[in-house]
Amino acid sequence: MEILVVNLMRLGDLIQASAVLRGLRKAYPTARITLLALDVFEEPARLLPGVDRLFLFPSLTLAAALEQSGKWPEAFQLLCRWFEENLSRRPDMVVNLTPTILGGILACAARGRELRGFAVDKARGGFTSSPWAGYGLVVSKARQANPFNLADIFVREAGLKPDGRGLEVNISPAAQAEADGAIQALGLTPGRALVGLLPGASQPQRRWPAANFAHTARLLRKARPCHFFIFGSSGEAPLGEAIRSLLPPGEVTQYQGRTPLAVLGAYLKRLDLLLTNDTGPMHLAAAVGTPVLALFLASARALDTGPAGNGHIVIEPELDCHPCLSPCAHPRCQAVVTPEAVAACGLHLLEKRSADRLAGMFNCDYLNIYFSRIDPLGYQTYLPMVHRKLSGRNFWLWVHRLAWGRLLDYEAGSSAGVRDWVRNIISRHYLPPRGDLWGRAGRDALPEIMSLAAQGAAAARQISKSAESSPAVLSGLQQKMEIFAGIDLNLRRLAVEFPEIASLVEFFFQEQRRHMETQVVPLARRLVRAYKGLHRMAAIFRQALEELAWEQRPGVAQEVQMAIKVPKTFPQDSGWPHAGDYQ
Amino acid sequence: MTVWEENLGALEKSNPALARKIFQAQVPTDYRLAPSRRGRPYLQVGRRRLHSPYDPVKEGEDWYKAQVLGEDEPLVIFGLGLGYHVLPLLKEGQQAWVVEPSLAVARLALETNDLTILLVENRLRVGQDFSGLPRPARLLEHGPSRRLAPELYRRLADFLAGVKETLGPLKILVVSPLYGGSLPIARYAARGFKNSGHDAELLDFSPFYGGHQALAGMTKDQGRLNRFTRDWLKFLGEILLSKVREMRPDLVLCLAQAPVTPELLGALKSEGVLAAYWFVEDFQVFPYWRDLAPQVDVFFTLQEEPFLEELRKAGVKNAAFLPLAADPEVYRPLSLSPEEKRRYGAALAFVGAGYRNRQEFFQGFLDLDFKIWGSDWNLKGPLAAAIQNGGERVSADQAVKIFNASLINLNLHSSPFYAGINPEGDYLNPRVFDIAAAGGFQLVDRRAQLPRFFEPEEELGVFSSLSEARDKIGYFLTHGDERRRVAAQGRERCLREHTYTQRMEEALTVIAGFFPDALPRRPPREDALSRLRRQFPPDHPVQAVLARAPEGTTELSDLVEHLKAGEAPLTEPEALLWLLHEFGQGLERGRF
Repeated sequence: MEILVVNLMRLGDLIQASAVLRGLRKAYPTARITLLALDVFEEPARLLPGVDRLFLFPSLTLAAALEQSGKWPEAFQLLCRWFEENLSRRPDMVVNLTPTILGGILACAARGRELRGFAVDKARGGFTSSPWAGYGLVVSKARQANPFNLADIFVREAGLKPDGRGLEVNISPAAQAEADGAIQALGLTPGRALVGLLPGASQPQRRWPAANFAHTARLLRKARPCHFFIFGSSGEAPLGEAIRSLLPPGEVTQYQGRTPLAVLGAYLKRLDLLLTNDTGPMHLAAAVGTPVLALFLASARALDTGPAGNGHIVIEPELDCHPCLSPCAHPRCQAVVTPEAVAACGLHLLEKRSADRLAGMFNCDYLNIYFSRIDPLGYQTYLPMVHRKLSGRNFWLWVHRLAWGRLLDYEAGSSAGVRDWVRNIISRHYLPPRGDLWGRAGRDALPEIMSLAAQGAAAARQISKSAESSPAVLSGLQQKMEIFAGIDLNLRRLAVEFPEIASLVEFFFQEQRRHMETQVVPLARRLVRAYKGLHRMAAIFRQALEELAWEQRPGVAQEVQMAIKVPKTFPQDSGWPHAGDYQ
Repeated sequence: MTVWEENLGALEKSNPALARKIFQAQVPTDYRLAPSRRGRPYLQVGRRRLHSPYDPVKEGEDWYKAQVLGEDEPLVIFGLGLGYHVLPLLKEGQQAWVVEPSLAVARLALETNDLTILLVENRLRVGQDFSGLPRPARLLEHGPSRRLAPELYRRLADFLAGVKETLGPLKILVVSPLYGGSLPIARYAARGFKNSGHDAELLDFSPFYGGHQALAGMTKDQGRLNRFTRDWLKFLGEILLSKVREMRPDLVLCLAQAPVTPELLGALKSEGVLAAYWFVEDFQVFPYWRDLAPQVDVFFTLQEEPFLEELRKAGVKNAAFLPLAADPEVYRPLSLSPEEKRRYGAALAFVGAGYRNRQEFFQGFLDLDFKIWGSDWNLKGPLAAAIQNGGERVSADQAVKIFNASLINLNLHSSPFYAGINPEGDYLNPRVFDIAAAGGFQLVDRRAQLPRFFEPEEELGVFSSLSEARDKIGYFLTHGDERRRVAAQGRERCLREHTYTQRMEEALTVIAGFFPDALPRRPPREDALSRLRRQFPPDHPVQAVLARAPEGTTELSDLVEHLKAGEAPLTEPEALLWLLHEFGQGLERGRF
């Protein structure tokens, strides 16, 4: 069996696809798995286990050809030759994880007998092979409430189940020996914690200031002996220089621009902690099993692309503008994340303290600090370490986890388990809410969606009936079509007005793109089903809202305490609830 | 002795002209040398690195090892960089020539590494100079250099392969001034090149004119204003340089008053392009040619002797006479509405600025139906009644209408030295050609060059004095047929010999004469779709897609729009065309 996995994305996205490769290998042990990646990301692609063959999309050659004006025929010839050499043989299955038209067209052109993920179809529409693939496409348009990590979305798009084993890469013995030799040559005293600092990021607004990295490092070394390694590209060297200049010379080594990716992975593997912005190497560190403390600033959102696996800490600002749409001149998100808070989290990881226990004197008024865990169904999740009153926004996050789980997974029997688990999380990790949790999104928008869906289904049913009875005469068809247009406009309005339910509406529209009926009766019948489906989705959300309504359970409020401006101790957790707790 | 001095000394002996050029080359600010991790410097041009920032020496050795070389095969390496890859090959005794696209890079290489082994044998060529290279020869490429100058690489490959090509489509950048009379000439020149099938682009600085004007009002301190102006010119120069790097033209043609300084022209040449300047001014009125002319490869003038002699004295070797012309797409016969005829028409009309000699001379026509159009006229002087539109500037569109609507179009060349006609006047102003191309009848003051371009009295009327002008006005106003015949013949001559398309071809011929190997010989242009058809066998599925493409489609985007609108199932070639288009779009957005 031939399986082609298409991932035309960047370093981090490639590493996040490692769980897919592992899942495919397990499900199809004898298959030959081919990974198609961009040539510029050959290095990370070669680190991924479970790949029998690597195809590289020739972006450099094509770009060089297209750079010359009027040379696109030559570029096309190159592309055809590459396609012929690599993809002329039809695979049995194509798994496309790339949520772009480029990936979609390639997935289509590869002509797999089975398709998973997103592809452009023969009718030139965007085709998603499964509800999860549809969700993967809409999640970027409705980010505020997405509870799923990208690595899990990849796994589900590929038709696999998350196994909760995080990410993985292969570090060659040679690379490991090189890194180990270099570390050994530093002659560090035993007991010194090895801490990596990664101050770069793909976008400047996502970079926590270098001075803050240095300040954090100074706080850490006060608490315990440390040696710091600064990683990143050569272009980020000025950031590294700035940090290095603020630390004692013997306690910091700068490796920016000097570590091929495999060697970087080998270094990261030896660290006790990596402090990083949301970057590709963050995923690499998670994949080699190093505890990560990651900062998600500006447009980066921890729940979307946080480090996979157990035992990482992620910090993001608790600001209304986060995650932002466009960079601002003086990002508040950089200012509210303080070195004191980050150092406290770093120390927490270095000293391997219990998940919920965060000690230290720092201000976390505007911070969300999460501990990474695997949920009972194997999905990545992030649980608050700073316990604050349950806000509407956080409440909706868990509503989404429950509702989308029911909508997308159809796991017989698992639904109640997830519900109880979510309830437990809410009661253990949040203080009793202040004010209205449902908001107008729950009280007004969901009923309105249900009503619009009912109208749509009724209109479609009517068309279907009249078309069946007299196919030649479709009186009033135009008028009926206008009803659908009106419903769509109202749905769009609701998605804009209520970000809490935007993903639901976007998902409905995305699912419509999968179908290309041209005959009236099949179209009308399909619309009946689609609007019914929308009604059902809204109903599931409403049910989830009701099921998760805050319950003041005895002892809950006493168990957890606020951690604002405190040297406070969090309650000892009895440990992570096992999946069995919910069965 | 430093490495630089040793290198330069060696080159001085084998190729003194190149040594001088490299010595004079200016290194742009974004050509940066930085120490690699292993110590030896590497070079970065803009955002592109030419060497490994880790160990350029080893990278160079690896490059050499990766070449599979035959015995006694002449080698030409495209790209010198700092020479790291060239040195191991030369040290092994290989006979190799090196073509480096950029003078600035060549200079940095000579400052960095001991390249005497290459230079004493005169085996370095810079820019478009392929003279003395062996043919046929095996071409080796230094990848980063190729990416910086892909077109030159291709040209070299063709040259080495002995591909015979005619003077084909060139890439030409025409640089306009911010404002003034040479601005439209820049536009016409660019269009002239395009009409001949060249890839010409106009770098239009006119949108910056507002900013330029605003500067003057920003401070009363002359020193500061001078500094602002200097910085402003530098900024505009950066734009020109970046455009040149983006487009990699074969030739840059700057029009008079274009915002270029001698330093900038030097930097342009360091980019390895031919720089030409068209000085469409009177050299006796505007002396700035003295600073600019020595900096360009070719300097075009509207005047011949004694200007050309003056240029020679100033050390300018390649100067040539290039007269103005007309753009018949702009200046053409029009059918005007009665309202336009009334508004723009007159027995006698003049379009142009109110130079002193005109202010004087035109007082001799005030008894006629005379309209004066244009700016810089004294609205309170004796000509006031004749001045139209409050002395506003006249657009080209208006000028064509005036030339068409007026029975006689007067043309008097400006002169700051004479009250009326300049008896020593030589060059022809744009109006001579514009009126002729528009099909208007023209009465022009006698100029030394005129008989070479138009036959007096057959193709236009000529006068040497006010009384002669008045006599001819009287004659041609009463002899309509004669007037129309002369105008028609003037237009015919103009279209035959004096369009910008022809003029720009003449300019290229002159340049090719000065620099026989500099302008590339390319095969005649073939449109993209025809090329694509030729590249695939007749039975290839892409041919069916191309056969369905709407007529006139040449761009990938148009082709893809068409196939996306199709209803039949998407075929593989269609998918790949779409894929390429999406990839290109992603590149433009900086996604890869």
